[in-house]
Amino acid sequence: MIDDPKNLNMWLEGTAAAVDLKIPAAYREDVILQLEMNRSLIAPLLDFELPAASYDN
Amino acid sequence: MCPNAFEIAEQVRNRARTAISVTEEALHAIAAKNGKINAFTTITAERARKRAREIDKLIASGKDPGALAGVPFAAKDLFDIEAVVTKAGSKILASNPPAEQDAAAILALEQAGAVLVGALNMEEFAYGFLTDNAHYGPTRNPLDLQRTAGGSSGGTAAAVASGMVPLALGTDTNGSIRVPASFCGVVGMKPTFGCVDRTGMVPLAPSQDHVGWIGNCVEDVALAWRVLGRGAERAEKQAAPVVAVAGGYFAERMTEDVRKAMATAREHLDVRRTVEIPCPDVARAASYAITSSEASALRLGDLRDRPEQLDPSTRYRFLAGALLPAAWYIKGKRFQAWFRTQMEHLFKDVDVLLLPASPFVAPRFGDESTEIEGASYPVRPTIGRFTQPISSAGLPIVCLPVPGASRLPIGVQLVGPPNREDLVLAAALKLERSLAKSRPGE
Repeated sequence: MIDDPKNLNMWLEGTAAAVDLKIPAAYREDVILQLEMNRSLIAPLLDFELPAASYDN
Repeated sequence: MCPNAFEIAEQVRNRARTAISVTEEALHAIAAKNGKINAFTTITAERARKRAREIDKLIASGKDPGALAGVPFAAKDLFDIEAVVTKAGSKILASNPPAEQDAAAILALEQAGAVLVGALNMEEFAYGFLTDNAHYGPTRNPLDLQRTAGGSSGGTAAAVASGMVPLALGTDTNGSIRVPASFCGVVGMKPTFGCVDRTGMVPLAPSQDHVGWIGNCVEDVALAWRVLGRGAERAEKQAAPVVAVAGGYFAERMTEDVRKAMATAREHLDVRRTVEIPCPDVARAASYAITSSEASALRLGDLRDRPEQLDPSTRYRFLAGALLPAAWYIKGKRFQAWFRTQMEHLFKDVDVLLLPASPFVAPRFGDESTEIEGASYPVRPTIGRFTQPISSAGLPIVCLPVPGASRLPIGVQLVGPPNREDLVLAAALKLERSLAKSRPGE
Protein backbone atom coordinates (compact mmCIF):
# COMPACT_ATOMS: atom_id res chain seq x y z
CA MET A 1 0.00 0.00 0.00
CA ILE A 2 2.76 2.40 1.01
CA ASP A 3 4.60 1.75 -2.27
CA ASP A 4 1.80 3.55 -4.12
CA PRO A 5 3.12 7.09 -5.00
CA LYS A 6 -0.21 8.57 -3.92
CA ASN A 7 0.18 7.02 -0.49
CA LEU A 8 3.79 8.19 -0.20
CA ASN A 9 2.53 11.72 -0.77
CA MET A 10 -0.16 11.21 1.87
CA TRP A 11 2.47 9.88 4.26
CA LEU A 12 4.64 12.92 3.69
CA GLU A 13 1.79 15.41 4.05
CA GLY A 14 0.17 13.79 7.07
CA THR A 15 3.25 13.10 9.15
CA ALA A 16 4.92 16.39 8.30
CA ALA A 17 1.80 18.24 9.46
CA ALA A 18 1.74 16.20 12.67
CA VAL A 19 5.27 17.33 13.59
CA ASP A 20 4.77 20.86 12.23
CA LEU A 21 7.33 20.38 9.48
CA LYS A 22 6.99 22.04 6.09
CA ILE A 23 8.90 20.18 3.39
CA PRO A 24 10.10 22.81 0.88
CA ALA A 25 8.91 22.09 -2.68
CA ALA A 26 12.51 21.86 -3.90
CA TYR A 27 13.20 19.00 -1.48
CA ARG A 28 9.96 17.10 -1.93
CA GLU A 29 11.10 14.65 -4.60
CA ASP A 30 14.29 13.72 -2.71
CA VAL A 31 12.40 13.29 0.55
CA ILE A 32 9.91 10.95 -1.14
CA LEU A 33 12.80 8.92 -2.60
CA GLN A 34 14.29 8.72 0.88
CA LEU A 35 10.93 7.66 2.35
CA GLU A 36 10.82 4.81 -0.18
CA MET A 37 14.38 3.83 0.71
CA ASN A 38 13.59 3.96 4.44
CA ARG A 39 10.56 1.75 3.90
CA SER A 40 12.65 -0.83 2.06
CA LEU A 41 15.55 -0.72 4.56
CA ILE A 42 13.20 -1.10 7.53
CA ALA A 43 11.02 -3.77 5.85
CA PRO A 44 12.81 -6.76 7.50
CA LEU A 45 11.98 -5.27 10.91
CA LEU A 46 8.34 -4.64 10.02
CA ASP A 47 7.97 -8.18 8.65
CA PHE A 48 9.57 -9.79 11.71
CA GLU A 49 7.36 -11.33 14.36
CA LEU A 50 8.90 -10.76 17.77
CA PRO A 51 8.48 -13.73 20.08
CA ALA A 52 6.33 -13.00 23.12
CA ALA A 53 8.61 -12.46 26.10
CA SER A 54 9.36 -10.14 28.96
CA TYR A 55 11.60 -7.87 26.88
CA ASP A 56 8.79 -5.29 26.63
CA ASN A 57 9.29 -4.34 30.27
CA MET B 1 53.91 6.89 11.41
CA CYS B 2 54.48 8.54 14.80
CA PRO B 3 55.51 6.49 17.85
CA ASN B 4 52.76 4.65 19.69
CA ALA B 5 51.01 6.34 22.61
CA PHE B 6 52.31 3.89 25.20
CA GLU B 7 55.90 4.41 23.99
CA ILE B 8 55.55 8.21 24.13
CA ALA B 9 54.08 8.08 27.66
CA GLU B 10 56.93 5.85 28.84
CA GLN B 11 59.57 8.11 27.31
CA VAL B 12 58.00 11.26 28.79
CA ARG B 13 57.64 9.70 32.24
CA ASN B 14 61.24 8.46 32.10
CA ARG B 15 62.45 11.91 30.98
CA ALA B 16 63.84 10.51 27.74
CA ARG B 17 61.68 13.13 25.99
CA THR B 18 59.76 16.20 27.12
CA ALA B 19 56.04 16.62 26.61
CA ILE B 20 56.65 19.96 24.87
CA SER B 21 58.99 18.37 22.31
CA VAL B 22 56.43 15.65 21.57
CA THR B 23 53.71 18.29 21.22
CA GLU B 24 55.82 20.43 18.86
CA GLU B 25 56.46 17.33 16.75
CA ALA B 26 52.74 16.62 16.51
CA LEU B 27 51.97 20.27 15.62
CA HIS B 28 54.70 20.14 12.97
CA ALA B 29 53.25 16.92 11.51
CA ILE B 30 49.78 18.50 11.41
CA ALA B 31 51.13 21.60 9.66
CA ALA B 32 52.93 19.42 7.11
CA LYS B 33 50.18 16.89 6.38
CA ASN B 34 46.77 18.33 7.13
CA GLY B 35 46.56 20.43 3.97
CA LYS B 36 46.32 17.31 1.84
CA ILE B 37 44.33 15.09 4.20
CA ASN B 38 41.95 17.58 5.86
CA ALA B 39 41.62 15.63 9.10
CA PHE B 40 41.63 18.66 11.42
CA THR B 41 39.00 21.42 11.57
CA THR B 42 40.62 23.25 14.52
CA ILE B 43 44.17 23.18 15.86
CA THR B 44 44.54 24.12 19.54
CA ALA B 45 48.28 24.82 19.40
CA GLU B 46 48.58 27.32 22.25
CA ARG B 47 46.44 25.26 24.60
CA ALA B 48 48.54 22.18 23.72
CA ARG B 49 51.84 23.94 24.41
CA LYS B 50 50.53 25.24 27.75
CA ARG B 51 49.35 21.77 28.77
CA ALA B 52 52.61 20.12 27.65
CA ARG B 53 54.66 22.56 29.77
CA GLU B 54 52.44 21.74 32.76
CA ILE B 55 53.17 18.02 32.22
CA ASP B 56 56.90 18.71 32.05
CA LYS B 57 56.71 20.75 35.27
CA LEU B 58 54.89 17.90 37.04
CA ILE B 59 57.57 15.44 35.96
CA ALA B 60 60.36 17.81 36.99
CA SER B 61 58.78 18.04 40.45
CA GLY B 62 58.79 14.24 40.74
CA LYS B 63 55.04 13.72 40.19
CA ASP B 64 53.48 11.19 37.80
CA PRO B 65 51.21 12.96 35.30
CA GLY B 66 49.40 9.74 34.40
CA ALA B 67 49.28 6.81 32.01
CA LEU B 68 49.15 9.06 28.92
CA ALA B 69 51.91 11.47 29.96
CA GLY B 70 52.61 13.85 27.07
CA VAL B 71 50.62 11.86 24.48
CA PRO B 72 49.17 14.20 21.84
CA PHE B 73 45.57 13.44 20.90
CA ALA B 74 42.70 15.00 18.98
CA ALA B 75 38.93 14.73 19.23
CA LYS B 76 36.13 14.46 16.67
CA ASP B 77 34.48 17.85 16.33
CA LEU B 78 31.41 16.80 18.32
CA PHE B 79 33.20 16.77 21.67
CA ASP B 80 33.14 20.11 23.47
CA ILE B 81 36.51 21.84 23.72
CA GLU B 82 36.61 24.82 26.06
CA ALA B 83 36.64 28.14 24.13
CA VAL B 84 36.05 26.38 20.76
CA VAL B 85 32.72 26.17 18.89
CA THR B 86 31.55 22.54 18.65
CA LYS B 87 30.36 22.28 15.05
CA ALA B 88 29.71 18.54 14.74
CA GLY B 89 30.52 18.87 11.03
CA SER B 90 27.59 21.24 10.53
CA LYS B 91 27.06 24.82 9.43
CA ILE B 92 24.03 24.99 11.72
CA LEU B 93 26.09 24.76 14.94
CA ALA B 94 28.92 26.97 13.63
CA SER B 95 27.18 30.12 14.92
CA ASN B 96 26.85 28.72 18.47
CA PRO B 97 28.97 30.26 21.24
CA PRO B 98 32.20 28.45 22.15
CA ALA B 99 31.92 25.59 24.64
CA GLU B 100 32.35 26.61 28.26
CA GLN B 101 34.15 23.44 29.27
CA ASP B 102 35.70 20.29 27.84
CA ALA B 103 33.68 17.16 27.21
CA ALA B 104 34.09 14.46 29.88
CA ALA B 105 36.15 12.19 27.60
CA ILE B 106 38.62 15.00 26.81
CA LEU B 107 38.89 15.88 30.49
CA ALA B 108 39.58 12.23 31.38
CA LEU B 109 42.36 11.90 28.80
CA GLU B 110 43.98 15.18 29.89
CA GLN B 111 43.75 14.20 33.54
CA ALA B 112 45.79 11.12 32.56
CA GLY B 113 48.47 13.37 31.08
CA ALA B 114 47.41 13.51 27.40
CA VAL B 115 47.65 16.76 25.41
CA LEU B 116 44.79 17.89 23.16
CA VAL B 117 46.01 19.32 19.84
CA GLY B 118 42.73 19.92 17.99
CA ALA B 119 39.32 18.95 16.64
CA LEU B 120 38.72 16.52 13.78
CA ASN B 121 36.55 16.52 10.66
CA MET B 122 33.52 14.27 10.46
CA GLU B 123 30.27 13.63 8.63
CA GLU B 124 27.65 16.25 9.47
CA PHE B 125 26.18 15.31 12.87
CA ALA B 126 28.03 11.94 12.57
CA TYR B 127 25.41 10.75 10.08
CA GLY B 128 27.23 8.76 7.38
CA PHE B 129 30.23 6.63 6.46
CA LEU B 130 32.19 8.81 3.98
CA THR B 131 33.31 12.12 5.62
CA ASP B 132 32.71 13.90 2.31
CA ASN B 133 31.55 16.97 4.22
CA ALA B 134 29.95 19.73 2.12
CA HIS B 135 30.88 22.45 4.66
CA TYR B 136 34.41 21.51 5.74
CA GLY B 137 35.58 19.41 2.80
CA PRO B 138 36.34 15.72 2.40
CA THR B 139 38.77 13.94 4.69
CA ARG B 140 41.12 12.00 2.43
CA ASN B 141 42.48 8.55 3.13
CA PRO B 142 46.20 8.93 3.96
CA LEU B 143 46.93 5.68 2.06
CA ASP B 144 45.28 6.92 -1.15
CA LEU B 145 44.18 10.55 -1.33
CA GLN B 146 41.57 9.77 -4.00
CA ARG B 147 39.69 7.60 -1.50
CA THR B 148 37.56 8.32 1.53
CA ALA B 149 38.91 7.88 5.05
CA GLY B 150 35.50 6.48 5.97
CA GLY B 151 33.13 7.96 8.50
CA SER B 152 31.65 9.36 10.40
CA SER B 153 34.89 9.60 12.43
CA GLY B 154 36.93 10.09 9.24
CA GLY B 155 39.19 12.78 10.68
CA THR B 156 39.84 10.57 13.70
CA ALA B 157 41.11 7.65 11.61
CA ALA B 158 43.01 9.81 9.10
CA ALA B 159 44.80 11.80 11.83
CA VAL B 160 46.14 8.55 13.35
CA ALA B 161 46.85 6.74 10.07
CA SER B 162 48.85 9.71 8.75
CA GLY B 163 50.97 9.93 11.92
CA MET B 164 49.70 13.35 13.01
CA VAL B 165 48.62 11.99 16.42
CA PRO B 166 48.93 8.52 17.97
CA LEU B 167 45.46 8.57 19.52
CA ALA B 168 42.13 10.22 18.66
CA LEU B 169 38.59 10.27 20.01
CA GLY B 170 35.53 9.54 17.90
CA THR B 171 32.06 8.10 18.23
CA ASP B 172 30.32 4.99 16.92
CA THR B 173 26.55 4.70 16.44
CA ASN B 174 26.39 2.26 13.51
CA GLY B 175 30.07 1.74 12.71
CA SER B 176 31.55 5.25 12.77
CA ILE B 177 34.73 4.11 14.53
CA ARG B 178 34.92 0.68 12.91
CA VAL B 179 34.44 1.69 9.25
CA PRO B 180 37.11 4.44 9.20
CA ALA B 181 39.49 2.24 11.20
CA SER B 182 39.01 -0.49 8.58
CA PHE B 183 39.48 1.89 5.62
CA CYS B 184 42.59 3.58 7.08
CA GLY B 185 44.34 0.50 8.50
CA VAL B 186 44.32 1.55 12.16
CA VAL B 187 42.89 0.05 15.36
CA GLY B 188 39.47 1.22 16.56
CA MET B 189 37.65 0.45 19.77
CA LYS B 190 34.11 0.99 20.96
CA PRO B 191 33.43 -0.30 24.47
CA THR B 192 30.18 -1.57 25.95
CA PHE B 193 27.31 0.90 25.59
CA GLY B 194 27.22 3.31 28.52
CA CYS B 195 30.75 2.58 29.77
CA VAL B 196 32.22 5.95 28.79
CA ASP B 197 30.83 9.30 29.91
CA ARG B 198 29.13 11.11 27.00
CA THR B 199 28.78 14.48 28.76
CA GLY B 200 29.66 17.35 26.42
CA MET B 201 29.12 15.40 23.21
CA VAL B 202 26.68 16.27 20.41
CA PRO B 203 24.47 13.18 20.06
CA LEU B 204 23.30 11.49 16.87
CA ALA B 205 21.10 8.69 18.25
CA PRO B 206 21.39 8.39 22.05
CA SER B 207 20.17 4.76 22.11
CA GLN B 208 23.27 3.69 20.19
CA ASP B 209 25.89 6.46 20.52
CA HIS B 210 29.18 5.18 21.92
CA VAL B 211 32.35 7.13 22.64
CA GLY B 212 35.19 5.31 20.88
CA TRP B 213 38.78 5.91 19.87
CA ILE B 214 41.41 4.99 17.32
CA GLY B 215 45.11 4.26 17.80
CA ASN B 216 48.06 2.71 15.99
CA CYS B 217 48.02 -0.54 17.88
CA VAL B 218 45.97 -2.68 20.27
CA GLU B 219 48.10 -1.68 23.24
CA ASP B 220 47.24 2.00 22.63
CA VAL B 221 43.49 1.48 22.44
CA ALA B 222 43.70 -0.70 25.58
CA LEU B 223 45.55 2.12 27.34
CA ALA B 224 42.81 4.60 26.38
CA TRP B 225 40.18 2.11 27.59
CA ARG B 226 41.86 1.90 31.00
CA VAL B 227 41.71 5.70 31.23
CA LEU B 228 38.20 6.23 29.86
CA GLY B 229 36.23 3.13 30.75
CA ARG B 230 33.98 2.82 33.76
CA GLY B 231 34.91 -0.49 35.36
CA ALA B 232 38.06 -0.89 33.26
CA GLU B 233 40.14 -1.32 36.40
CA ARG B 234 38.05 -4.37 37.33
CA ALA B 235 38.84 -6.14 34.05
CA GLU B 236 39.54 -9.84 34.33
CA LYS B 237 42.65 -11.22 32.72
CA GLN B 238 41.97 -13.63 29.88
CA ALA B 239 44.99 -15.20 28.22
CA ALA B 240 43.44 -17.16 25.36
CA PRO B 241 39.84 -16.32 24.52
CA VAL B 242 37.87 -18.83 22.46
CA VAL B 243 37.02 -17.15 19.15
CA ALA B 244 34.25 -18.19 16.75
CA VAL B 245 33.58 -16.76 13.32
CA ALA B 246 30.12 -15.45 12.43
CA GLY B 247 28.65 -17.37 9.50
CA GLY B 248 25.66 -16.88 7.18
CA TYR B 249 24.99 -13.17 6.52
CA PHE B 250 28.49 -12.28 7.79
CA ALA B 251 30.18 -14.63 5.33
CA GLU B 252 28.30 -13.28 2.31
CA ARG B 253 28.47 -10.24 0.02
CA MET B 254 32.08 -9.14 0.49
CA THR B 255 34.95 -8.57 -1.93
CA GLU B 256 37.88 -10.93 -2.31
CA ASP B 257 40.03 -8.54 -0.20
CA VAL B 258 37.72 -8.98 2.76
CA ARG B 259 37.36 -12.73 2.26
CA LYS B 260 41.14 -13.10 2.28
CA ALA B 261 41.51 -10.90 5.38
CA MET B 262 38.88 -12.97 7.19
CA ALA B 263 40.65 -16.24 6.25
CA THR B 264 43.93 -14.81 7.55
CA ALA B 265 42.33 -13.70 10.82
CA ARG B 266 40.70 -17.13 11.30
CA GLU B 267 44.03 -18.86 10.83
CA HIS B 268 45.92 -16.59 13.23
CA LEU B 269 43.22 -16.80 15.88
CA ASP B 270 42.91 -20.57 15.49
CA VAL B 271 39.15 -20.29 14.91
CA ARG B 272 37.45 -23.67 14.82
CA ARG B 273 33.80 -22.77 15.31
CA THR B 274 31.18 -20.95 13.31
CA VAL B 275 28.14 -19.38 14.96
CA GLU B 276 25.04 -17.77 13.51
CA ILE B 277 24.10 -14.31 14.74
CA PRO B 278 20.29 -14.32 14.87
CA CYS B 279 18.28 -12.21 12.42
CA PRO B 280 21.12 -9.94 11.18
CA ASP B 281 18.98 -8.35 8.47
CA VAL B 282 16.31 -7.48 11.06
CA ALA B 283 18.98 -6.20 13.45
CA ARG B 284 20.32 -3.94 10.72
CA ALA B 285 16.83 -2.65 9.95
CA ALA B 286 16.22 -1.98 13.66
CA SER B 287 19.48 -0.04 14.00
CA TYR B 288 18.50 1.98 10.95
CA ALA B 289 15.01 2.74 12.27
CA ILE B 290 16.28 3.73 15.72
CA THR B 291 19.06 5.95 14.35
CA SER B 292 16.87 7.58 11.75
CA SER B 293 14.08 8.38 14.17
CA GLU B 294 16.25 9.60 17.07
CA ALA B 295 18.61 11.65 14.87
CA SER B 296 15.73 13.48 13.20
CA ALA B 297 13.83 14.06 16.44
CA LEU B 298 16.91 15.76 17.91
CA ARG B 299 17.22 18.09 14.88
CA LEU B 300 13.50 18.78 14.43
CA GLY B 301 13.86 22.50 15.20
CA ASP B 302 16.58 22.89 12.55
CA LEU B 303 14.53 20.86 10.06
CA ARG B 304 11.63 23.29 10.54
CA ASP B 305 13.68 26.50 10.48
CA ARG B 306 16.71 26.02 8.25
CA PRO B 307 16.88 22.73 6.34
CA GLU B 308 18.77 24.52 3.55
CA GLN B 309 21.79 24.77 5.88
CA LEU B 310 22.13 20.98 6.12
CA ASP B 311 24.68 19.10 4.01
CA PRO B 312 22.71 17.69 1.03
CA SER B 313 24.08 14.24 1.85
CA THR B 314 22.32 14.24 5.23
CA ARG B 315 19.39 16.65 4.59
CA TYR B 316 16.96 14.16 3.05
CA ARG B 317 17.74 11.44 5.57
CA PHE B 318 17.03 13.89 8.39
CA LEU B 319 13.79 15.13 6.79
CA ALA B 320 12.51 11.63 5.95
CA GLY B 321 13.57 10.34 9.37
CA ALA B 322 11.30 12.93 11.01
CA LEU B 323 8.38 11.30 9.19
CA LEU B 324 9.05 7.77 10.48
CA PRO B 325 5.96 6.30 12.19
CA ALA B 326 6.34 5.90 15.96
CA ALA B 327 5.24 2.26 15.65
CA TRP B 328 8.33 1.50 13.55
CA TYR B 329 10.64 3.13 16.07
CA ILE B 330 8.99 1.28 18.95
CA LYS B 331 9.31 -2.01 17.12
CA GLY B 332 13.00 -1.23 16.61
CA LYS B 333 13.42 -0.63 20.35
CA ARG B 334 11.56 -3.83 21.25
CA PHE B 335 13.71 -5.78 18.79
CA GLN B 336 16.86 -4.16 20.26
CA ALA B 337 15.95 -5.48 23.73
CA TRP B 338 15.27 -8.98 22.38
CA PHE B 339 18.39 -8.96 20.21
CA ARG B 340 20.63 -8.05 23.16
CA THR B 341 19.46 -11.14 25.05
CA GLN B 342 19.98 -13.32 21.96
CA MET B 343 23.52 -12.00 21.53
CA GLU B 344 24.30 -12.67 25.19
CA HIS B 345 23.20 -16.31 24.70
CA LEU B 346 25.78 -16.68 21.91
CA PHE B 347 28.56 -15.94 24.38
CA LYS B 348 27.75 -18.91 26.61
CA ASP B 349 30.06 -21.14 24.57
CA VAL B 350 32.50 -18.69 23.01
CA ASP B 351 34.33 -15.60 24.25
CA VAL B 352 34.71 -13.51 21.12
CA LEU B 353 33.11 -13.35 17.66
CA LEU B 354 35.09 -12.60 14.51
CA LEU B 355 33.26 -10.57 11.83
CA PRO B 356 34.32 -8.53 8.82
CA ALA B 357 34.26 -4.76 9.39
CA SER B 358 33.41 -3.50 5.92
CA PRO B 359 32.38 -5.31 2.73
CA PHE B 360 35.10 -3.63 0.62
CA VAL B 361 38.18 -1.41 0.87
CA ALA B 362 37.87 2.41 0.99
CA PRO B 363 35.91 3.59 -2.06
CA ARG B 364 37.04 6.49 -4.25
CA PHE B 365 35.26 9.82 -3.79
CA GLY B 366 32.40 9.94 -6.26
CA ASP B 367 31.98 6.16 -6.53
CA GLU B 368 28.23 5.58 -6.44
CA SER B 369 28.32 1.80 -6.85
CA THR B 370 30.72 -1.07 -6.32
CA GLU B 371 30.94 -4.60 -7.62
CA ILE B 372 30.83 -7.52 -5.22
CA GLU B 373 30.91 -11.08 -6.50
CA GLY B 374 29.67 -10.03 -9.92
CA ALA B 375 26.78 -7.87 -8.74
CA SER B 376 26.59 -4.08 -8.40
CA TYR B 377 25.69 -2.46 -5.07
CA PRO B 378 25.25 1.20 -4.10
CA VAL B 379 28.29 2.29 -2.04
CA ARG B 380 26.73 4.44 0.67
CA PRO B 381 24.01 2.05 1.92
CA THR B 382 26.31 -1.00 1.65
CA ILE B 383 29.26 0.25 3.72
CA GLY B 384 27.57 -0.51 7.06
CA ARG B 385 26.50 -4.05 6.11
CA PHE B 386 28.68 -5.69 8.79
CA THR B 387 28.73 -2.98 11.47
CA GLN B 388 25.09 -1.86 11.61
CA PRO B 389 23.47 -5.20 12.57
CA ILE B 390 25.39 -5.53 15.83
CA SER B 391 25.36 -1.84 16.72
CA SER B 392 22.13 -1.86 18.69
CA ALA B 393 23.43 -4.65 20.97
CA GLY B 394 25.93 -2.25 22.55
CA LEU B 395 28.72 -4.86 22.73
CA PRO B 396 32.45 -4.11 23.11
CA ILE B 397 34.26 -4.28 19.77
CA VAL B 398 37.83 -3.85 18.58
CA CYS B 399 38.41 -3.39 14.85
CA LEU B 400 41.93 -4.03 13.61
CA PRO B 401 43.61 -4.26 10.21
CA VAL B 402 44.41 -7.63 8.66
CA PRO B 403 46.24 -8.02 5.35
CA GLY B 404 43.83 -8.68 2.48
CA ALA B 405 44.34 -9.22 -1.23
CA SER B 406 44.75 -5.50 -2.00
CA ARG B 407 47.41 -2.94 -1.04
CA LEU B 408 44.61 -1.03 0.71
CA PRO B 409 43.82 -1.96 4.31
CA ILE B 410 40.80 -3.85 5.54
CA GLY B 411 39.70 -4.47 9.12
CA VAL B 412 37.99 -7.23 11.04
CA GLN B 413 35.75 -6.86 14.09
CA LEU B 414 36.30 -8.75 17.34
CA VAL B 415 33.09 -8.64 19.37
CA GLY B 416 32.71 -9.65 23.01
CA PRO B 417 29.96 -9.99 25.60
CA PRO B 418 28.87 -6.87 27.53
CA ASN B 419 31.52 -5.48 29.92
CA ARG B 420 34.17 -7.94 28.76
CA GLU B 421 36.49 -5.56 26.97
CA ASP B 422 39.32 -7.68 28.39
CA LEU B 423 38.27 -10.57 26.11
CA VAL B 424 38.17 -8.56 22.89
CA LEU B 425 41.43 -6.80 23.73
CA ALA B 426 43.14 -10.13 24.49
CA ALA B 427 41.94 -11.60 21.18
CA ALA B 428 42.97 -8.44 19.30
CA LEU B 429 46.43 -8.50 20.88
CA LYS B 430 46.86 -12.16 20.00
CA LEU B 431 45.89 -11.49 16.37
CA GLU B 432 48.10 -8.40 16.11
CA ARG B 433 51.14 -10.20 17.54
CA SER B 434 50.61 -13.28 15.41
CA LEU B 435 50.32 -11.17 12.24
CA ALA B 436 53.46 -9.24 13.18
CA LYS B 437 55.42 -12.49 13.64
CA SER B 438 54.32 -13.77 10.24
CA ARG B 439 55.49 -10.68 8.32
CA PRO B 440 58.66 -11.15 6.28
CA GLY B 441 61.71 -10.04 8.26
CA GLU B 442 59.96 -10.31 11.65
